[in-house]
Amino acid sequence: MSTLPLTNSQLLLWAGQEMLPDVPLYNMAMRFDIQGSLDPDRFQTAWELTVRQTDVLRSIFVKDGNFPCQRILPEMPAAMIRIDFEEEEDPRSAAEQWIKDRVQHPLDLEHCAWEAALFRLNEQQWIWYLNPHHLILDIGSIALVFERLAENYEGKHAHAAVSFPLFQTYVEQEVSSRGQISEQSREFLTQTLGQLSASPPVLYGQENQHKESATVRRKIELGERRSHSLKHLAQITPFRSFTQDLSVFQILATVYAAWLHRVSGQQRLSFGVPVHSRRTQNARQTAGMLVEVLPLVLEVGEKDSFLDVFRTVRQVSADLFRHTQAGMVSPELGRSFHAVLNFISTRFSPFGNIPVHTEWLHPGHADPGHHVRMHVCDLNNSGSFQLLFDLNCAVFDADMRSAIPQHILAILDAMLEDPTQDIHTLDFCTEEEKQKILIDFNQTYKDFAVASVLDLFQRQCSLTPNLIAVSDRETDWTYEALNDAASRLAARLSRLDVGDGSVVGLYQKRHPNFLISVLAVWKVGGAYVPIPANHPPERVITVLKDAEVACVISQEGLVDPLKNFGDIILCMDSEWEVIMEEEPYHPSEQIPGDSLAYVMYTSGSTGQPKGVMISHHSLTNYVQWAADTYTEQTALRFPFFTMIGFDLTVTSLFVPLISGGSVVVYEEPEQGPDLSIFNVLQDNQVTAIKLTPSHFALVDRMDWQDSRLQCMIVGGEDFQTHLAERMHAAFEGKLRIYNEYGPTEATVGCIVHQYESGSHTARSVPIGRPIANLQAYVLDNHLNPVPKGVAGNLYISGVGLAKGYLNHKELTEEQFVDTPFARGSRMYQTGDIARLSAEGVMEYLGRKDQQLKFGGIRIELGEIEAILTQHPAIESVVVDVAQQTSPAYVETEHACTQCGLPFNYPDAHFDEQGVCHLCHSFNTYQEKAARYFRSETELKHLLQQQRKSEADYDCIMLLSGGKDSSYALARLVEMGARVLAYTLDNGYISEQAKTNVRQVVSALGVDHIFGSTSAMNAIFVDSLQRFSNVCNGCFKTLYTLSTRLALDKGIPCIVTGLSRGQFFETRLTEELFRGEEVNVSTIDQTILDARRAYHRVEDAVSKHLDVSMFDDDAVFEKVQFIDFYRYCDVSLEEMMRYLDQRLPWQRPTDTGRSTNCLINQLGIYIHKRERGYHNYAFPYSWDVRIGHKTREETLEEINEQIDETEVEQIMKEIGYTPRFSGPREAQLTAWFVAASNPDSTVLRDYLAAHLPPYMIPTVFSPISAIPLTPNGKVDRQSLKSSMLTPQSTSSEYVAPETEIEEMLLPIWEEVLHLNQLSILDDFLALGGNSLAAIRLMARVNELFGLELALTTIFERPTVRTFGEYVEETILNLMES
Amino acid sequence: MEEALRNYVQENLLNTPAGTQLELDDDLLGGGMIDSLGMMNLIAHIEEVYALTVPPEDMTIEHFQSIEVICTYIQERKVAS
Repeated sequence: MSTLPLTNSQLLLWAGQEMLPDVPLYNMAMRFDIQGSLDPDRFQTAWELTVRQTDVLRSIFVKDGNFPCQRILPEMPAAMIRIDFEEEEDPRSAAEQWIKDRVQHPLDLEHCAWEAALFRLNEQQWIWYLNPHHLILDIGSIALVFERLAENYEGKHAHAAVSFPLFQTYVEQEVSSRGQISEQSREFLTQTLGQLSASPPVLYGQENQHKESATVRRKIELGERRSHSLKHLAQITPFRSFTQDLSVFQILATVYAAWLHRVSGQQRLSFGVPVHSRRTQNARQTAGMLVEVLPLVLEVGEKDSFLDVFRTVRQVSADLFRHTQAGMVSPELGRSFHAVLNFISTRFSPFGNIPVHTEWLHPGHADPGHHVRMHVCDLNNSGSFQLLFDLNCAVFDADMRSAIPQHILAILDAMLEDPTQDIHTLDFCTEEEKQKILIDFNQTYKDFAVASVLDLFQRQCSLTPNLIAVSDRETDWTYEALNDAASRLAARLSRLDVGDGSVVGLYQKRHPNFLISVLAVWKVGGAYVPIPANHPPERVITVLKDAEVACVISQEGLVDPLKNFGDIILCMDSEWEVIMEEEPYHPSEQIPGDSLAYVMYTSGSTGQPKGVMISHHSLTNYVQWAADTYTEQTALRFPFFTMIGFDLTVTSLFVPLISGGSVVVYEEPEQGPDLSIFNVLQDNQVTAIKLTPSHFALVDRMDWQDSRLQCMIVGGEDFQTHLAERMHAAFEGKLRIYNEYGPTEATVGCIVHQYESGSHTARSVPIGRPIANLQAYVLDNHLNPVPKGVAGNLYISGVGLAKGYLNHKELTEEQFVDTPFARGSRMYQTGDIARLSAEGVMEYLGRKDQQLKFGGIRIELGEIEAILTQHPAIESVVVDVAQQTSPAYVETEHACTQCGLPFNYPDAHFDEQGVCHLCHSFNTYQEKAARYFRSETELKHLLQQQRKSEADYDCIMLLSGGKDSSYALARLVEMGARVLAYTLDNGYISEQAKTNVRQVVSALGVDHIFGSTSAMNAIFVDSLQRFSNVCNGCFKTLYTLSTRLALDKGIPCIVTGLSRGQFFETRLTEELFRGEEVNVSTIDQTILDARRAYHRVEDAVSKHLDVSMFDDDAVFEKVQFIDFYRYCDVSLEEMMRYLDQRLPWQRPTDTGRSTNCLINQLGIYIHKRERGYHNYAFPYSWDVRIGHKTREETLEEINEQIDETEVEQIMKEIGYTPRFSGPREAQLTAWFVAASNPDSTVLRDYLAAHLPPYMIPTVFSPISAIPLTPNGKVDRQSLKSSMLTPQSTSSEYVAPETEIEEMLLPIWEEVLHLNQLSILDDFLALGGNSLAAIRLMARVNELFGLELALTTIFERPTVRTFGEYVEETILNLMES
Repeated sequence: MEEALRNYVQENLLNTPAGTQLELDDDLLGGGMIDSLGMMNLIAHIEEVYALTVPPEDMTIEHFQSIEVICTYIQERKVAS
């Protein structure tokens, strides 16, 4: 009996099976219908002989410890089953039922890895069933076994003596050749691995969330015609290769790649390809598992034709086949694809002379990672290929499972028809799909007969004249009063010759007057252009000119810059009384539906805003639909608190006014950010609100207990599920939450979704389905519909479409195009990417171009860039939104192949072999660095030299209780030094470590002190905030306290147990060794200077401990620091041996790692979360580099699990709140190249003259050049990722001086996520947005027990000015 | 070169002793002695030993039918490069 390990390929199968032990994942069942007479006894004997001849059929699988192994038994006791079904009513279906049951039955690998059965249906019809586990046979081997069986039946191999090549030999070769991969193969493998993207292509947007294995198999007979064309194409250059099989495979791989590209949207693709290792005659005669599934990795170009993809496929597949060696598979490669293309060239022979029909049966399960498998085979040599699709049921619903094979077939047909066509132009959706996604999805017809919102409003006026329509804080307006005022203003307009087709600019603040103006403009047949009061005059003028306004309705205080418009300006406030004396104007006829209702200006990429023209028909359709949808029993009260120039506001104004509801007006503030949302919510008057997700972030922590809100409509930008869920929970499910999608060009909202808790798992709430009389389509770049789940361009069609852009005919024609599948209708290209989910709702996925929404408002980055470029100092500029997020922690599988430095270590770079730049550069100065180190003799000498006879001790040894310091202490004693051991008890030293300390000092007979400080927790918190670890704070405390002790006791030296790795981490930087000659005393001086500066930094240590001794340089002479390991070079092994033999030192087991400190894990945890890597990764990499540790040892420590509950507990104990509670806010950032460096305030002021406040970048970042991608485009990604934390902006650092300033500064730092701010730093300049302001004000008010207004921070943005105000307020309170 | 190549094919792909029946003009692919993946191994070998690269478009029967043909191809390739 031989016991063998498993091949790598078998190991993968084994591991897969172990995950799902009761699932028949790898049953390779075959059914052979033998059509002729058979002698069952002879058949059985032949099978038994085959089993004796074929070693793999006698193998079983057992575990040896945790490792699986295969045993080849001398005899296989299992026998073939024989059943005669002839007596059954329907023998065939009886047999089929049996097979159906057994095929899904897991095999007992410990006893026999196959099941075989022979069924007699009648004398001429037999079925042989063989179900081997894939661990023992691949499909080629099954054919081999079947052939052998037939030969044995015919008596060709009379005796067991016939020897076939053994699988054992193959296994042994595979195992022994591991690690002997040829140079070329290794290169290929590294290259392949390098190209694999982090996540494999996602098919149809679907994932296998719960890693389910159930699959169905669909068969498609390719048929003679298609098979023939396929083979024909395979004969033509350039498709022709060595063999027809290879050519057909490469053609099908091209089709598969094209399909994968189209349904994943990815350019870089990978799919699994089973490759056999039967390269030699012997291997070809070996029955066993000789197949490995390897990824074929390729990149598809933006304009590739089939022929282009084919050329790539040919290249990458030739590379793959040339360089694969048995044993190359790995779990990593196995995870790199979700789709498999299995080309099976095996053909099954007849059973001797008897014809056989062979069928491969599906066990109903497959690897959960394989979402789609396409097998191509012609097992019976029929001349027609069969396509077998295994489709995962958890990933694809029934509709998709029937559509997917059709998609591939359509793409195959396209290639067979014309291989030169662009793969992106293919229309491959089925007719059923088109019916569903284009027609059924868009059945939205609803008859809204009324022509205008004005009519609806006037009808409401006659129904409820005395209900309140609008109110601000001072006045209530009934419907009647509102209508009357509008009619009087209309009369005035009419006298100004404003009439049908006129455009009127409304340059106003939010006020009831705005509503009066809109209604008046409509009454005279005109359209309005809303221009928010905070827009800079220049932009206001641009808009008024572009719109060729007949009149501007404005107010005092705004109109000054509009002198040129002189006589067409109407000031509502100053002229109010005159206007109200007009006779009301009543329009004689209804407004025509296609006349303009408003023109709304949005940001335009050319630097000029563009006006979107909306007709009354479009507006009325939306408003009626919205009133129907959002109003339930009672009419709604909406707040008017968003910008008038933002079409989101349209909902809040007109939905209530046509349905008997009311509008509550919240005017914008004189200056500073608009935070009316707070007033809205504090007032608690409204029952419905329309807002953007950005508003949410502001009101996130509100108390909703008594809120009267019933309906919340979210629009303007991506609405994340967690926000919706939080609102849902806060209102205990009583709030109706809608996500409304719509570009201005499709009138406010055109797709809507009502949030249902628990039904959305995706990151964002779906945008849902089109509203009444609108249609939504997801199309590819060639206007073909894309299947469900696949991302495409979102197009909108229907009643809501804008008439176009005012004065921009070309742009209108570009954006509004003919609908290809509905004659005579137009559709608007939104520029948004969306997909139709499997559940049949639309999901928003982002913008296609650079246009983005920031705070819900559309911004063309190009517009900001265009204006900035006009500034004389600016040479070039890029504007984008950049988010400063904590880097995600990466489990250190990816680390320098020499030292283990993680790949995400800041600024680290790696060569092709994965070796980091530090390893490389260390090679260049390693020898020089060696000169820094000294001998133990020198240490002895130094200690003697420094010895002061009047002192009791020669040195203090900083004893942490760890191995390094314990060893150092023992050695010092051995050298004859009089040592005082000193341990800082930071409150988290493990008990075992303390025991170690006590036992070690007592065994060595040295005096010992446990030092401590009550400020330890404050120091930890400070250290975590500054360095994301606890060690820095602890070290500084230790140095400070021990220095004080040394001074007090007159001890001349302090000896540290820092490891050599730590030297390189903290002191011995590369720069010290740059020169030709290394001058050690210069290095020592540099280190001493650094130490001086180190002790003079203001931090928690300087605040809480006595650091006065460092003021005087003399301290650094009186007390000398000596690093023990500068003088002693000892390997870890040697050290441990010494400790074992000489000292009562035990490795601590109660800290869970090789440290003696329990709080360390908090530091590690925070460091990993905030900086993305372990804080010891860097010093450890140095330990490896200098040969004190192995890479494996450090990786093991670095990848240790951290107990989060303990970490949370410790955070509570020391009073630390982590700052990674959520992603940091994205900030609009301008990167610019400038000859002279203009101050950011200058640029800000310049932009403020041209752009509204929301378009002015928060961060201005000077760069030396704009980075470009290889294609010559601006490399925005690199800009965003290079974004550094903004630093203090004031030129000099000023520390807090008063007590109040001291209390305020940490709050500034915390909410801004910045360290070491000066009290003169400007909150706003450092990116303090409204969200940060709220947090800051909440903290301040809590801390001082005050109720300062939110605006305080905007008025007094520095700690200094703010502090003065706080002080003043407190004094006033005390006096009153 | 022919001899070396023949020996390689016999020992490594056909598993037959060197010097036994493999004629220089035997059809390797059509005769089913080597399949396309076996041929890929042979190409990897040729590329390594003769320090040349076989571009995918050259991977056709015309260049790899028999030992003889392969040798001609190698000569041409070497001259070309």
